[in-house]
Amino acid sequence: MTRKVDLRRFTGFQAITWACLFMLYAPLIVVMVYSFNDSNSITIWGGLSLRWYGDVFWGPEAEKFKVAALNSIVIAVSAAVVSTAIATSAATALLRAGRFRGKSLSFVLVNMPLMVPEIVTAVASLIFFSAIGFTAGYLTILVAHIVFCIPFAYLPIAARMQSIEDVYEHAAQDLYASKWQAFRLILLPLMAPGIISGFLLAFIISLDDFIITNFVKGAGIETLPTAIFGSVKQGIKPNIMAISTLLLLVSVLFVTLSWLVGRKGQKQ
Amino acid sequence: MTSETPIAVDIQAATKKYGSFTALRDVSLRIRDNEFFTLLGPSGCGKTTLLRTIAGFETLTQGAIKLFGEDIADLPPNKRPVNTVFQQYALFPHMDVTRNVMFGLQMLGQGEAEARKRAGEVLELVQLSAFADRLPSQMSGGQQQRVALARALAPNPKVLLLDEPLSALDLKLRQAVRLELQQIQQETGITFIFVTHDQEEALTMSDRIAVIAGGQVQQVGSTRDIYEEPNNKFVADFIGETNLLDVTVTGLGAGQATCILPGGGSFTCPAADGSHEGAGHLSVRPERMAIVPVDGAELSGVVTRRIYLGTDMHVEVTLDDSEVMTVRVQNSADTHIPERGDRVGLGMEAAAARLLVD
Repeated sequence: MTRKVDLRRFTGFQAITWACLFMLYAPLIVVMVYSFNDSNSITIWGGLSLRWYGDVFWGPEAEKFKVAALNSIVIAVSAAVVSTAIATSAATALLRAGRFRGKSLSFVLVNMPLMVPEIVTAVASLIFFSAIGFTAGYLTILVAHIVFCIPFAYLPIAARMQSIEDVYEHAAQDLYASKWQAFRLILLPLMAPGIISGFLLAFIISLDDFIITNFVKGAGIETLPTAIFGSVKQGIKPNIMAISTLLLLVSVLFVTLSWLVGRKGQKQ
Repeated sequence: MTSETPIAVDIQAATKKYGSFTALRDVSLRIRDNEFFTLLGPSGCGKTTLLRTIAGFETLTQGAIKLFGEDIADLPPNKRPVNTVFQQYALFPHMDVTRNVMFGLQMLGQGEAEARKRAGEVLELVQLSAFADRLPSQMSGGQQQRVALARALAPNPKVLLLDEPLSALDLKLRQAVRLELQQIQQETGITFIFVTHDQEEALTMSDRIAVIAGGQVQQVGSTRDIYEEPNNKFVADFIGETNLLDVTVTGLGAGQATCILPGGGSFTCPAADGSHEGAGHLSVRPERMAIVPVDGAELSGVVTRRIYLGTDMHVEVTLDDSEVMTVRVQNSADTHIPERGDRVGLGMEAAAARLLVD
């Protein structure tokens, strides 16, 4: 047995850990707790209540939030579907097609959005869209989302595909399946956990995105994050905390789901 | 064609190169219909490459492959009427046993009911009817191996390729499956091409064996030919155990060679093709040697080790020029087995020895 390093013995380790955890989670906890506040103030506790959740759904801003949430969901679902399809094709080409010219380059291109600072992508997309006169609002958001969702969908799909030996496809071809049949009947079902995981991840990444959306969206169209930002600019009301808590919940749910599906696939 | 048995697989001057590495070098083999044919060799010798070439997963750099006279070199794997039992079985993990066995039939266009019926028949042949609804992950290695066999047999291929299918099984099971495989081959009448590195497996199951090393065929023949009349030193050494003595050949003629033994004695025995005067190797199997009195023996030395093997005993005798010979002696009450340190003579019949080239 090799001796493991005991992290707890490092000087200051505990203090640093607590500081990090505090910085990461204290603001989230404050928002979650104060979303149940009965008071009009965002800092003074006025008792427990679901008042601001009611306000989100039926208050003066409810209509705005509903439209924005619907936009977000439609865009997230569409972007996730398209980016998952592209990521699946990309993974198949990069992992199953053997060697070809430009393979490394393709890999870099697929994963590029992970490395480029989001603000750069946002500004570049805005300039590009206006340069070609593409200002369809809804569609510009969708196209931008598809692009940056691809690497997030690609990662779990590629990880899954790498764990599937190509002997299964060989066996299928040996048993008179064409390449396409081997892909559809054997590889695709075996990859399903990775694909679902990739889809969920892409969905949540699209749903949460603010920076790029805010740059490329046309006038008069809002997604949930931009709508929340718009509200905050006019002063923070407790309903923002309620809607943020809801968004956080959806996010955690999907990421957990994505992880669970991925793990179930690993065990098979 | 000289023989009346049709040739199932005809490999003509096959060469396969991967960059500068030559995996197969000018391999020619004619595998007869209804034959249990084994490709035997150490790992990395090219036997699996040859199998994959017949299956269609590799393309030859040079040469031709014919299946019952038809050139199949350009056909993709799914257009070749051959099926493979893969080393790792490669059962589809998301399909139950019946679905796995039905797969090939459905790809050939058979209907659900017909394919299901045939799957049932084949599962009965491999005695797995009770497991038809199981998933591969719910079965033992031996059972999975039989599913893999059933799946490959179901479409009734012209040739069945088996890529070291027994290597993952434990010894007892392996011995049982050997007999079963042989029986299934005889019942179905399908040509089996079996790849293995295990010479015992090859000897017990095959009709004929091709010994392959370094991408080249060393010898093709019946199990008896390969064991008793090896072509060269590699084959003699790889198949079973043998004693190899460096000798000097002084005369050749009519398939016989006269040579000078290390002790200085002269000995005449059968010689392999390609033998020449000068340095050669004399191969004698341990069970064909005998311990005899020192006086008048061809070779003599001192017993340096005795290895107990149950029914037999291996006696290692170190000759005067320090070469070690192994003699297999049967363990019975009336055989005298010499002790360590005893000085003994070694006898061998001329017919039991064979002169080999490198």
